[in-house]
Amino acid sequence: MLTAEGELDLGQPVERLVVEGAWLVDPFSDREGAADVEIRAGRISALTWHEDQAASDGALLVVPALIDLSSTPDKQPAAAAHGGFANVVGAAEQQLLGIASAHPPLAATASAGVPATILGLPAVGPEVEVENAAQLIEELRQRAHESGPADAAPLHLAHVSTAATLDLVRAARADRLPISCDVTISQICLHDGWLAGDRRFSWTAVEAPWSGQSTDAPPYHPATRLEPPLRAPDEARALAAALADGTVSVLTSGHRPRAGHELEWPYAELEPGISALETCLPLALAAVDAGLLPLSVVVRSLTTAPAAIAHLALPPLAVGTVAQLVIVDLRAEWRVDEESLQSAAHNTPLLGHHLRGRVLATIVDGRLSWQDRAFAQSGAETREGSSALR
Amino acid sequence: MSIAGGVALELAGRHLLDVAELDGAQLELVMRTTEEARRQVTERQVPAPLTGRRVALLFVEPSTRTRTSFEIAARNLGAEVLSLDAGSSSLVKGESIADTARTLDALGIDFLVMRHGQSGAPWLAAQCFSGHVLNAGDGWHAHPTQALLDLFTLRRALGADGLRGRKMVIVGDVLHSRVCRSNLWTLTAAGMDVWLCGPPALLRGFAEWAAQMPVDRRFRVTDDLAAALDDADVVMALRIQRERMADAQLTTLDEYVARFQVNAARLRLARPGVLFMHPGPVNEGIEVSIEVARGPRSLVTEQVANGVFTRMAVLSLLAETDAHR
Repeated sequence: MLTAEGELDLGQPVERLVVEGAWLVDPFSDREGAADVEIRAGRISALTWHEDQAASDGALLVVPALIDLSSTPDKQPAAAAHGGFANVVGAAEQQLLGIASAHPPLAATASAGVPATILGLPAVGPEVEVENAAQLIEELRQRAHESGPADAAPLHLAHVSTAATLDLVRAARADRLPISCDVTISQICLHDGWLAGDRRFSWTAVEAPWSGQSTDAPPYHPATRLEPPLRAPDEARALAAALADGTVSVLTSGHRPRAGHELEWPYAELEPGISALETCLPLALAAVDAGLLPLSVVVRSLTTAPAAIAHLALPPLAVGTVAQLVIVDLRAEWRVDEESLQSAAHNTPLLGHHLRGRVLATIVDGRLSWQDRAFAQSGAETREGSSALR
Repeated sequence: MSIAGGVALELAGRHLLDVAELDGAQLELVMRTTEEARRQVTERQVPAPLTGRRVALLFVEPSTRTRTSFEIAARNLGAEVLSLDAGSSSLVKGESIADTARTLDALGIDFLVMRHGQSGAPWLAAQCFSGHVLNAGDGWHAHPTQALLDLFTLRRALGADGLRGRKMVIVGDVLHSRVCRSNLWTLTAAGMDVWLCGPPALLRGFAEWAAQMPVDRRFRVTDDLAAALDDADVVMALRIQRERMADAQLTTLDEYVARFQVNAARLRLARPGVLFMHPGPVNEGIEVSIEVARGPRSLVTEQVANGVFTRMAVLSLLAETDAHR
């Protein structure tokens, strides 16, 4: 149950907020379970773990506010806040951090596979990414050879999209090279069938990949043109497995906003990109529901793991520290549409789809940066969350 | 009175963008309507169901035959025709397809017949157009009316029930062919035993596609022309372009001719009376020998003639969907 007292205004410190019977995931101590959390004057004032996990009905999830390591910041700050993000690392910082795209830019319209063949799109295979990643790793190897592995500037491969690149990362790590990598939520949940109008998630499509007939939506949706290109469902499964086993440490939204007029070109002439900040967490939770990823891995890969690479100090979940949290109603659905999206960029093939997992509140640095309508009933001294919470 | 004569069945939707989604009943409807159009034209008794309707032909990629065929079909049905070539029209220059579609919509165009060099372009136009969009060829992807006229031509030659189990060979630049892709849907739906043949580099990805097709629609892919032609009932050659030889990993056009040209000697491997088809324009002496292209078993001129009837059929069937809107 969610109880708030006093004024709750965007941008203002949270006066008093109590979440009872929450499911709390703490990536700092690697603990999760039923807990009560109280926030007073922007700080965590009480935190009680329950021995009995039944103390949480599993409706309210509380996790640290998220960090997006290798995406494009949105012009609307509310987009990140609505997605549960506290921070989206900008392009200049990414460069300083040694973040390099695994896939070379503008090298593919589509990934080689049956959908690209049927749709008549020029396609390239995974070797384009593998060659590029191999070269970046070779440069890292040279640096490590010259200065010693401990002193070499690390490499972070962004948006790895194929199992063959993961093998290179594993080999480099075995050689003690300072390397890390991330995957986008789109590469985990979507697949190349989406180009053709298939709207099943990768875990459903892996047994029977799209083969040309039944479709849920028209083909050539402009926001299925991504970089790297969406790949076959079995690649998505390999990426999820690599995230679960730690080969990939970071999950990123891969947000790349595009204005409406940028979407009005033939598929091969489009600038790649998907608006994903606000759908990243719900999609990750869908992957958890599907048994593809443990919840603890999703939370770590969106909080402490990217923070470590970006050298961001996150306030831990402890009494006395500044509150920096997301509260999610796991049972509430919401419709992805022009109204719900805070970003001005609506380039997503999920437009019109219902997703489960509604961000009720995002609290950054003790201040409220997002509050859901259900949460923001004005004037109430005490309120409860959406009906699903009771 | 319309050509379809009040048939309750609808075409796949408001537009004709692809043939992949047409089921057996819808294909049958188009075939029967095409037959009716052929009869009406032959008897010079064509009603004019499209009187007062406007058809725009937007050909962003040049094509004389398909555009002319659509123009004649639309005029036969009584429509006004507006022809917009990429080369001559200021509408097209410097404007996105979406803007052009919106402009034509505002001008009161009812049917937008569109040819574009990029796969998927007609879907973009369809989003911005309240009338009907007909795909007259998009990139490597689809050429719906060509596949429908090919199906009609085959049914005329072999009988409406004569296609099932017959061996059909499509030989040439499969990779870059929208004609081949669309024909794969319609010919396998008709139950034909379809074989694709060409240089391996021009078949890339098609064996994987075949493997994912339902068992009863699984086509064959081979670079062995002799195996493909063995016992074939129909051979369709695709147009070969000199500039594709690098993609084909062949050094010269002569090398292609030596290995893949459809000629009389090679056709002896096929069944006696094997039929020849080609979507045009034919490079005589390249993908097919002159004697075969102009020979008695060639259906090339029938294909061209049937193109008009087929396009009349789809235009009138789409016009009928207006009644349901």
